[in-house]
Amino acid sequence: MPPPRGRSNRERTGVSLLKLPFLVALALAIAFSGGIASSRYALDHVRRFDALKIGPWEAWPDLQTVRADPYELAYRAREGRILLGEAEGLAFTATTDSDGEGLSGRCRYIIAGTTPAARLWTLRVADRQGRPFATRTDVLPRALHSHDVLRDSEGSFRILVSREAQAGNWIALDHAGPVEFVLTLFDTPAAGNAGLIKLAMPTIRRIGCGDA
Amino acid sequence: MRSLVLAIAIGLVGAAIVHVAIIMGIPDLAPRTAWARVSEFGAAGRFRELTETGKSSSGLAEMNPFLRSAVCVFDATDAPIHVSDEGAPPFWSLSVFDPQSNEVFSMNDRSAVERRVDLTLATSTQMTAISRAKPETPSKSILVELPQPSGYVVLRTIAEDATWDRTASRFLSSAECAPLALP
Repeated sequence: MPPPRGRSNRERTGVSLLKLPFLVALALAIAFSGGIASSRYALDHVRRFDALKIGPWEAWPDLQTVRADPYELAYRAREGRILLGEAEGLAFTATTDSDGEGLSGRCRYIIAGTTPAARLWTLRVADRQGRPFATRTDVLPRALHSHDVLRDSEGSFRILVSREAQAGNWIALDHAGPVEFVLTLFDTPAAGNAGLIKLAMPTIRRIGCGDA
Repeated sequence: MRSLVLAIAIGLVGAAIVHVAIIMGIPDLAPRTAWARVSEFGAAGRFRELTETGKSSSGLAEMNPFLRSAVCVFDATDAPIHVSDEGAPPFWSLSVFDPQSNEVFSMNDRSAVERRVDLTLATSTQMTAISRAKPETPSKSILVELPQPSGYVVLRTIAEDATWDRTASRFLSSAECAPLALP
């Protein structure tokens, strides 16, 4: 004699009744978590995939223009900064040295070479939000400008970034955590550059960390 | 099993839609855009110098220790805006932005007449009026057509060391961006 089929049918309907809400919930969870996570990732990494890159230096010549893409527009709105216009200048940021290692506030670096043509440039150390470590009146040099920098006979410079003071070009850096270097070129043809000019930026070499 | 795969696929398509919606929505929904921050200054007809990092309430700060920046919010609905300054430091630059923070116009002292700040911001209807009344308007002033009547101007100069501080702040505080009386 076969077992009564009514009960097993009812069980099966019960399972599929639970299955549909589960599948809907799964689809919604993937949609929202995936959408939010990918947007956050894109906004945090947008600099990496749409920048003018020269060695470790990155700049964003289109960020303040109408040519900015939707990711740049979102980044710009979220950051809420006042940006440099094309005729004003162009800011390059480095978060790694020339070997691709992240810049640390406890290491010593040598920034050497030349910059693209500009009327004036400034080089400063900052935290990863671009904020300086001290006020303008601080006794230690936290930044240098092109009229202040000593150069060799061929016009290239060599700047030491370290905690200990040093003769020659020196920027003070002593910070627990990751840092960035910001090189801003003022009145430069590089700002309107569409890859026509070969741009040379200085290299960043790490020469040691900590007290060693 | 097939319905599970289908649910995941629908979820991924949904994730793409949510992603696009967030990215496209941020420029309109972000609470602290540059425009929202400068609007707190109000359209006063004068430039306001940005303070150093950590000393400003609006969250806007000039992070470069050698740079001095000032912002003027304008509204050219009723009259064109005349941006001018008496001083001429060794380097100055300015940019005009619309409320979406798109650059409308930028220049520096090298591209200016006699290296002075002198430009007139006008909407397209005001441009027509100005060109009709041409003889009376100051001809040296650079005419900039605004896509939208409001926006902000940023004026910058360099202070290489402390001795330049007074020159720089005098230059920035003497700058004006006042409505121009149309003939």
